[in-house]
Amino acid sequence: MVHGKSTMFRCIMNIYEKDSGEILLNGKKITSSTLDKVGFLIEEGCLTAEYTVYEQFSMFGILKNMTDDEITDSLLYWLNKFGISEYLNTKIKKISKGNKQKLQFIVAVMHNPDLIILDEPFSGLDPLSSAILKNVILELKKQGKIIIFSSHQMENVESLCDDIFMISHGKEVLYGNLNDIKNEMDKKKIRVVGKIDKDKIKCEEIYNITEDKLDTYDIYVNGSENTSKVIEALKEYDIKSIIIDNLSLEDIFMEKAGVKYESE
Amino acid sequence: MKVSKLRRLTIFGVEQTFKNKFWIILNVLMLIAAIAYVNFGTVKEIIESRKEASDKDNINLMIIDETDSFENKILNFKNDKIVIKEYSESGVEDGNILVEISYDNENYIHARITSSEYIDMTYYSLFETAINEIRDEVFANRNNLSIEEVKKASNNVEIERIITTLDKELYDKYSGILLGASLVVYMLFIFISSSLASTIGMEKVSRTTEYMLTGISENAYLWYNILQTNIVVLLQGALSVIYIVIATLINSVLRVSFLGAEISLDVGLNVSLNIEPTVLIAAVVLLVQAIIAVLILSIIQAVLSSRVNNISDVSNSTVLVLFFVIFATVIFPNFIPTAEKVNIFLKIISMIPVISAVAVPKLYLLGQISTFGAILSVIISIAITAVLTVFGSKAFKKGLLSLSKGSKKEERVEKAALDDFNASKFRASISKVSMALIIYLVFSNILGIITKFAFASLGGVLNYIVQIVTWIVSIYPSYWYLKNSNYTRKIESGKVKIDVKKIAILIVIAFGIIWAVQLVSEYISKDLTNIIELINLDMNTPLECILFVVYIALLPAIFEELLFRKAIFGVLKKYGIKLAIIISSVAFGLMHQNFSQGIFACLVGVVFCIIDDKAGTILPSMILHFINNCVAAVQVIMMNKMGEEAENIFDVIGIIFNVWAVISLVVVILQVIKNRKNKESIEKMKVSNEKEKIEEIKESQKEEIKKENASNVNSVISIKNPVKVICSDFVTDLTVVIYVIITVCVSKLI
Repeated sequence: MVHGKSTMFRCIMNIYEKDSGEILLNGKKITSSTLDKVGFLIEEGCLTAEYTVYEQFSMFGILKNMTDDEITDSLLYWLNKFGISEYLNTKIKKISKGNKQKLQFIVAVMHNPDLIILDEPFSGLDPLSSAILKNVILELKKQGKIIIFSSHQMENVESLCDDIFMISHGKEVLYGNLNDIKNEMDKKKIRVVGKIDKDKIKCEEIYNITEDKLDTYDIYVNGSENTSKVIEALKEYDIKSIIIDNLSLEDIFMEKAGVKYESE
Repeated sequence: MKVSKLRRLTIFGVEQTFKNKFWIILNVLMLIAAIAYVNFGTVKEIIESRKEASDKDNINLMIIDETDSFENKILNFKNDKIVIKEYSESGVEDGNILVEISYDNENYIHARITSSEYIDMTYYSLFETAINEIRDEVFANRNNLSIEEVKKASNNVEIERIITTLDKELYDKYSGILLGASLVVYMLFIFISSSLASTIGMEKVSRTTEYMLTGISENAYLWYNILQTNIVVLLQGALSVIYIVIATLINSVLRVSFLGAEISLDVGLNVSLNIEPTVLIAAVVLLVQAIIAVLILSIIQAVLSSRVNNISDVSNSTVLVLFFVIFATVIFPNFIPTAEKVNIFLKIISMIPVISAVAVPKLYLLGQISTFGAILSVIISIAITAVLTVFGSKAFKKGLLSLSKGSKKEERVEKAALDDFNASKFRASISKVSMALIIYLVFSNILGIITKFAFASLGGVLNYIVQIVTWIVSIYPSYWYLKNSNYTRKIESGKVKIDVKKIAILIVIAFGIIWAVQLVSEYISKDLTNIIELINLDMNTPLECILFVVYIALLPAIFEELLFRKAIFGVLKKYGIKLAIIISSVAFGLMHQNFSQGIFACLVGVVFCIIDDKAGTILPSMILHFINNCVAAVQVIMMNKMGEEAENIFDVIGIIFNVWAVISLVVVILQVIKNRKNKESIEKMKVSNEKEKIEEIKESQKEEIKKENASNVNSVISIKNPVKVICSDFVTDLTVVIYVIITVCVSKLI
């Protein structure tokens, strides 16, 4: 999936040269000294297999202008937080993929950055670690850090983000506050469990029906005030439950990206 | 800010190396090795002084000697270990050595040494000397000469070479420094390049580099790597010196306590400090140049290593640099003669950084360049280092960010199949080309021998006709063969527009290049035998002169171009232009069947191929070939008619051509630089089109395969028996090699 997320992050981090435009952080151009206060989690990983954890982090600490004491304190704090402090002197090649992902996260946050860029932080994590990581990110958010976070998993985005910027094939699809976007969309999703005939329901406001599981349908409705009409139309079927919900981010994405594809 | 990061990172890197357990083990081993090496002799002495000489080591000799002097000679050496025994049948099996000396049919000495085991080198050489002395004595007795005279006659003549401006003694005294320095640079660089390559490769493969670039600039990152490895090597060197000192101390303790030697601090400190100014300057130049060379090589190595994409490439990336280092520090300095005047080309090459590290001090010690030259070389090196740092760090970053494109599996499989198909076609083409070459060699040699014997007495115009006919008959069959084979039929089709202006420009530039090539190849093969001397033709009448030009210039220009450029290069071009150029040029060189012409032809072949490729026809190379050979032919004719006057004229023309060569070289270099820049933008476009192209090619290949299967029965068989095809290719290749060797031998004999 080449859409340009990682390229954009690398441009911010001065790895790639940008073709045009400007990148500003708090109104200032990004230089290597401002980058000392930026954390970056690289999706593909950035840990050298031959080094031990301590060596690797000492190197990265120096890179971010930390003193030796700061490096040790911060590293131990974070390792304890994730419960992997026994790996301090282990070679990175001997560490499992999930734990490596945690180390990647520590790389991004160990120098107490103001801006944290996380490129797919949840890939390769089991649910438990995922939950821990999610909590840590929320904690950082409460501390007032700016977090830029990319993901394909919409439920994570939905539970963590205030603002979203959706990108498809290098172009902006959607940008704004998540709640505002949801309200603006003015569409509802009705989840129905029961036997209905998908093709026979006739109601002008319904613009899409998908079958999620056996006998479970998602009915998408234009205009939140029209849901009652739809429920009215459903009365003739044998229905076990009806849930009325806002569109999820995934739905919004499908819709927006889909429109984009068609227009191209 | 950056500097402090760079400093801290460097220190950190060095510390890490020193903490590495392999490094500690290595150093312990080095210490042990140093102690063992220095003290080995002493310990041996100590052990020997305590042990009585035992019988075991004796060398037992049995002698059968018709001259009766071997025994005396051996006794004269006064070696206690050699014991002479009576001859017995089973003596050799018992561990004795049997020496037999006899007169052969012509009354010369013949000797045989039989033993059941190997003989110690020192004893064997003793026997050898004794036997040689006997031979000298016998010879002297027979011819009534004194032994000394015979000895003098059998030794090489000692030539005392004196150059009045060169202080030979001085050079001899200090040339050891150069050898030592070149070896040190070389050994150092083995460590430096491998450790640079492994750190950069390791970090690149695991993408740590990308994160590093967010904290420091690519320049700082490059220097962090270079400094780190160089400091480690320097410290390691210092440590090695300490180890040697420790070992020497232990040695003196051992000597004092076990061998009763006196305590002395005479470790060679009484070297006079009276160094000549020449040597001092040479030493300073050597030191500065060596440091710069290491820096330049480090940058090159770092850039090369930054391009690796998997761990197995890491070691490969060092090979190129190490090869260059071997050439620059060990091989190239040997090209500089100590007793002759140094060629201007060698001097220019010596100025190239890295090569200059050893070559310039050597030239300076020999008095072949001035102090100004030495300083100039240092300035050039420094300038190039500065340029390299700027461009190096950019290339380094580019390399670090270039990751292998993970092509999808299907695409890869399809591409592999395509490659296979191409490879088999390529092999077939190669075997055709080799076959054509064989045909040419067979025809030309057989006809050559026939004409040599049958028409030897012919002179004048008739001789020319015979030669011309022979030549055409020997070269045409191979062209005909290639032209009519399946694989070349394609190149006949497709007319190309002839762009006169372009061809003219190409010819003008290429002529200069060829002149430069001629100078270089003349230099490589110093005994450039004149083409004309090989042929032996008359040039008395105008008609004969014209025939001479036709034979030397016109015919080769037509037929050789048809064979080597149109047929061979044209066929192979599809499989990679570089390979095609190399093969056709080497074939062109081989065709000349002698070393000096072969080298020139090979190099010129490259130029011809390139211009033909650019123009799209073989016309420019034909014209150039004609002009080039024509110049040679006219030169010969004029020399014949006018003698020394012609030589003067050609000296002047030579200077003009030299200038021409330099100008066209400059033009070509500028053009190459310009093309480089254009290439990048073109490549970007290419990437997008690549996939479509591959598909297109695939389609056309499929059609081709179908056609071939339908039309050619042989190809069906070859697909069924791939092993057979490969074997037959191998056999043809082998026959080419054998045949070339044989023909060269035969032509030398005749």
